[in-house]
Amino acid sequence: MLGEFVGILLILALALLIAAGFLALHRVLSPKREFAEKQEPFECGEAQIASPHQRFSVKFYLVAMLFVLFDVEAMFFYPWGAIFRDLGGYGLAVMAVFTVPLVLGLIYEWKKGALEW
Amino acid sequence: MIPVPTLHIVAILPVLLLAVGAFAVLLAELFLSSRGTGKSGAGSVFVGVSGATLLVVVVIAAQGFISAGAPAFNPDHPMLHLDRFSYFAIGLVAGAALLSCLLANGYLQELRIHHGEFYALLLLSTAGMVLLVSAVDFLSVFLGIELMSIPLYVLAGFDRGKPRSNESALKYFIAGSFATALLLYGMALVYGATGATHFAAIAARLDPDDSMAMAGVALILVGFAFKVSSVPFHQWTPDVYEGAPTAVTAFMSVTVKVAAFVALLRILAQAFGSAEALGTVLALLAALSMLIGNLMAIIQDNVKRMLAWSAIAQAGYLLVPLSTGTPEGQAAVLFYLAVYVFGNLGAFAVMIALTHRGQEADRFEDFDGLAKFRPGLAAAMVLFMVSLAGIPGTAGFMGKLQIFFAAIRADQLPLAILMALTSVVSVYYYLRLPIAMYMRPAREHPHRKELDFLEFTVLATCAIFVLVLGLLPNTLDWLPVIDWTHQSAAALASK
Repeated sequence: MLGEFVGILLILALALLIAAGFLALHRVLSPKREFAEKQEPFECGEAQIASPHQRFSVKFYLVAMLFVLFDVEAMFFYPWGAIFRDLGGYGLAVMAVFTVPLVLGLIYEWKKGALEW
Repeated sequence: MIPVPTLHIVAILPVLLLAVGAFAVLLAELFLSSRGTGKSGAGSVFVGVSGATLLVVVVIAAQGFISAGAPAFNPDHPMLHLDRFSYFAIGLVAGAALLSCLLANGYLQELRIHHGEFYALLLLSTAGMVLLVSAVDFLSVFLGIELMSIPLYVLAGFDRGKPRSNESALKYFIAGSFATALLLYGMALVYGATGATHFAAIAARLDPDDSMAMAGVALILVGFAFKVSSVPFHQWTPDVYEGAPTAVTAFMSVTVKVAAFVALLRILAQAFGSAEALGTVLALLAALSMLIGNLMAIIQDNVKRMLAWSAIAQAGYLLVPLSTGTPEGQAAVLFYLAVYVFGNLGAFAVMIALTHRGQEADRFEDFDGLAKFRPGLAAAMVLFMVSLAGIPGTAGFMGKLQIFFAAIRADQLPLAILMALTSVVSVYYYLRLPIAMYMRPAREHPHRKELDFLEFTVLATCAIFVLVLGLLPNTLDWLPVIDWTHQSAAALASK
């Protein structure tokens, strides 16, 4: 049984070896001239003028969550649309079963005011 | 033309009903609260809709049990199997959910968190449990577990203004997701080893000497041990039980236990029958849960925490007959689950009835001298505590007797003795409440004076069942519970 995994183990070992090898090469070969700008986390681009740790409205979370919810569900329509004719009446009925709770969810969030900014 | 899968409405009827009921409650919440209808009016609509839905499910389960289960659906690749065993469990789960939903009305109003979402989440969680107890395929097991757990995570944090409730929800969510991940990993390993997710196919191909399959079996067991809060996978239980609103604790402490134990029974009997080492592992879990649960319950100063540790100990009692694997042991598990539902729900019902103006009655001091002010409630609490401790005359004794006999017949004498000994220990902490209520001087009680009708119904139902199961478990013609459990266990063996 273990025989099947030997290949994976080899790839793992090889990956480690390559990563470690390049790091070691860099250490040995690269010229070392250090100055202040080089120590910054981002060498290129503008200098930081404000802290990135800022507060932002919790509403973003709500919108993001609703977006993910409806976006993922909308994805389900594509494969259905592609074979809509083949599925016939059954496909329509099943999609209705899927869509009705989705629409109820939309009504729910709308009435609850989750869509208001 | 794409082949159209067949749908068996009978198989998913209870789940379907519960989902429709949940949506109805959500819509009712929207339109009633926007019109400014009085909260109590909206409350009766919520309780009415969800209670009626659950009642219909109980009736369906009873009907299904009487007609000896539905025929097998989709013989080639069944996902659900509704035999007597499933219907017994569905009836128990839906009945417990019905009682919890009746309890919630007054409680949520006292806490000012009376929203329709509570009932919708409760119904959805119950739908997951119904799926779980009738699942015969690991895919439907997983679906059921998730549908059961996710609403519960939300419910645990339902009192969202309270940090304790939030903490409880977060802890439950993290521990629960972890358990689900382990469970899923186990299913994947078992699938890898046997190439099947269906129980019967797994049973045919499971090789007890294959280390990959056994690792999967062990991980699945760990996932379920989390759900039933058995030592050493219990750490989340006291915090979650304490922080969650009492109505939620009441619901999840009984229904999750029933659903998870029933699913575990079916998995062990129909999928992992050839893994004989499991008996020893389960016996070890049982012994640890009984010891640690009962010892830790002694030192608690909060009633909800005490009941949480007691729930861990009760999980240990339930694991004793589970580890035997005999039909008698399976019947004993089912009977004890019924006993546990009514005893534990009753105890929480008393605490809920004492909740007043957002103040929960969850410290031992809250019960000092209660017998003077509320003799009926105090007497009911004594009955439930005595039943949980397993003193003769109550349901708890009858349940433990069944477990005891099942264990002895299966040559598990050490476990049976350990159970008897730890039960003696448990009397100490279960009797702390009666002592506080009857022997301590009364403090000034701010508790509201009257029980509402729904709470009274729940308390009376629980008390009657505790007495009937304890005194006449098999003598009433219309309520031969012990016969039912044996018929259910027989259905489990026949597949």
